[in-house]
Amino acid sequence: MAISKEPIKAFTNQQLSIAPLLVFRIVFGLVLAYGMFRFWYFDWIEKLYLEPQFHFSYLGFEWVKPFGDWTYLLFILCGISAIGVAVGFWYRISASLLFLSFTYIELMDKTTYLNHYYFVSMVAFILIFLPAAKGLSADAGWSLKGLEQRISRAYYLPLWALVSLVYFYAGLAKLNSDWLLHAQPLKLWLPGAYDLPLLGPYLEKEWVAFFFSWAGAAFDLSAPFLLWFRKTRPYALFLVVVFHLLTRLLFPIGLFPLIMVLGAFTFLDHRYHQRLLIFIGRIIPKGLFKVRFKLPLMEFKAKQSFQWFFGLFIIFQLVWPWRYLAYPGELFWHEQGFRFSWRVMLMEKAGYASFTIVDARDKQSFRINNADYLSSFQEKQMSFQPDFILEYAHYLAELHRQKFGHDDVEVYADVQVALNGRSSQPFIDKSCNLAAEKRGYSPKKWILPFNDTIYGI
Amino acid sequence: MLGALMVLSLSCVEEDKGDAAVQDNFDRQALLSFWADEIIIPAYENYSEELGQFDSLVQSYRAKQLQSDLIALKAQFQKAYIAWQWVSIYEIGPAESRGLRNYSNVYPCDTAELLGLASSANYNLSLPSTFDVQGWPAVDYLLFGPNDLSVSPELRQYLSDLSQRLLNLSQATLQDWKNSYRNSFVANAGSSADASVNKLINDFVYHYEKELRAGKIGIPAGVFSGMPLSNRAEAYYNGDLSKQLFLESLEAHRRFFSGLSYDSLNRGPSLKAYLDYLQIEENGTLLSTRIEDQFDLVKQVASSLDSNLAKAATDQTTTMLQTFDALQQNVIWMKVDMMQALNVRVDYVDADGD
Repeated sequence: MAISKEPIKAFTNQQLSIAPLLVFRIVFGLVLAYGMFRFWYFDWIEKLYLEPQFHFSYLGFEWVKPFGDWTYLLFILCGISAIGVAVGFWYRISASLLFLSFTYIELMDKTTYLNHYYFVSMVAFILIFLPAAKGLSADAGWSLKGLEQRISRAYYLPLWALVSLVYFYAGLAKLNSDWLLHAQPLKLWLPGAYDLPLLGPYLEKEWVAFFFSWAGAAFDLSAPFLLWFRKTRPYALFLVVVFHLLTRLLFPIGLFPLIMVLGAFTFLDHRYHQRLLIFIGRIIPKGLFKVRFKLPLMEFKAKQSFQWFFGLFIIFQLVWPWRYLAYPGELFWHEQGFRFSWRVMLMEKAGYASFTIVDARDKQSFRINNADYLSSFQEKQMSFQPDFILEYAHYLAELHRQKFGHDDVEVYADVQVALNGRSSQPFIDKSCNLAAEKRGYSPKKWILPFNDTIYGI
Repeated sequence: MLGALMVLSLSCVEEDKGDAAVQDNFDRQALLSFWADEIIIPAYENYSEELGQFDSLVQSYRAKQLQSDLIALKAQFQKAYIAWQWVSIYEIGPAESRGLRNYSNVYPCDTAELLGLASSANYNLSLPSTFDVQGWPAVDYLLFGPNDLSVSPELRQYLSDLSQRLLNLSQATLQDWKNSYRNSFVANAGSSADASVNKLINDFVYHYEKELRAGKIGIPAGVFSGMPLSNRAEAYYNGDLSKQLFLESLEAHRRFFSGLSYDSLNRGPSLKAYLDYLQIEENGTLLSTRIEDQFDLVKQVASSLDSNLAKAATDQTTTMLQTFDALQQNVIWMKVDMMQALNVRVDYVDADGD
């Protein structure tokens, strides 16, 4: 039985106002430029990328490294291309450079991995292919006439789908016994914000942790649906703003709330975006505008190839977070398949890792002082993530092979990890020579089993 | 999340009824007051006093070179070095800004460099490059090393300069604590990364891990080198003091954890009380009990060690390593379990989370 493609075609090809996309492009570019400024301002470029002598790499991206003081140029390039996107100057090139430079920065060291950086990378990638500078831009001219451009719904779909997916998958990930039945890790985190005005004194109460856990899960799961339907959309946007404001108040969460709110507002009716742009157009001095509009007013239709490509892109995004099912054991414990899956603020995990080097030729052994090789941030992240532990063990092995002048170097790790308020327990098989273990996607057998059960997804 | 708004508005209403809800919060301000008034400031007072006596003996010996002064000086060295162990943990505020620990107790002392500087009579002890030619390790070398002070005016001068510098640093730190820092320390009772509770817990755990576990035991025992390094022991030249210094430091950590005042007469709020307040336990045993028992175990394992840890490092390596392992367990319980339970972030680059 063949399913008729016509309704789908009519849906994706329907022409919508360009205004929401213009607002998104402008603000997204400005936020990222500010993000790069923030990196420099807080001295993170130095601390995260230049000071450490060793960097943790993603599998297959070992070649992506900081390059000394020139790394600053990379951040400048990223900031400039973000502004290029915001003002729509040589748009396709700016957007491509933004995607490449931002992604390069994120790949330099996985110590700094955050879900929202991944989200930004994906959005920057999508933006390359959108007609987001066909109005109100340096390329198209600044005339408000540009607001009348129309584009296929297909151009909005990848953005909308991605935003929806982030919420929905973040909600699914919360459907586990730690989150719902023990209010962990919020029970650990919320009391830390006890000095917040008004809310502070309540944050230590158990019922508040439970309330926030359940409400958070309900919000994440329902937000995409509330956003998609016109009738519920205003409520959804209100909730989005309240939710992200709260997370901003309670946790050191950087630009994430801003970016998600921005993403959610692409759902908002185009008339609001138009009014906003017209209002801004009025208060900006007239001289700044070239009245002449460079482009003919037209409809931008998404090509078949675009639709196919992003259809596959969304399917990939839907499937990829489930790869953890291929690994036995508790995901929160072994973290195989944890990243790139919108598992946001789900666990409080800390560890202590102590490495022993064995010179197998003369049977000498000694421990490593991690501070000699890693920044405190790197050490903290390494001490509970198995792929970090293995990569670091390999680095230590290589260093000592050179030091000893032979290859009989063994590395053993004694690691204790505490998860979501449980007592610390042994994490890695102490008798396993990590120098001989390969990096890769196959299950890491040297991770000891979690001695508790977390039920749920 | 609408409910969250309701919480917000409810909280406004209940605020007027009185603050019954606030009372069951752990009183961090009281914790900080107790730390400042009953532990840290008394420790600095005692240290400054012992150091003052030490310095007057140094000055007297420099002026008259009486053998009796030298003997008294050596005895007072022990008292002052012990008193140092009780302030070394609290590298925060005025101590942190002065780099007190680095200028007071970096060992081993670079003796060749020290002798060169002393004879050149041209040195500036406020430079970071001179960490390892000053402080107690350098005094230890001058008093108990191979040199005869009675025939060397340069070394006596150098000793006097070391003593004066230690005294100035400790007095200035104590004055700052008393004048203004005490109040800002107690007032900074918030939850941010640079609030007092967070910072001092980080400093405390850092000191336990790096200075006590690694510095006093692990490094001389050869944990990080594969072979014992006797000369890396504390008080290497007056070796018989080293185990006592270790035990004093251990006791200082223990009392801080359990909330015993410096004179051990008063009990007060503490990390132990904080953990118990949050009811942190596993299988019926409180985490605080496990940590306290572990402190006892360390003491017990170390009891058979020679009073000279440089000697113990080579002659009793196994016992030294066992002491290290016993110490290590509490690093895990304090740095992982305790800090997670208290929601204290391990000191790191203050980057974003998600």
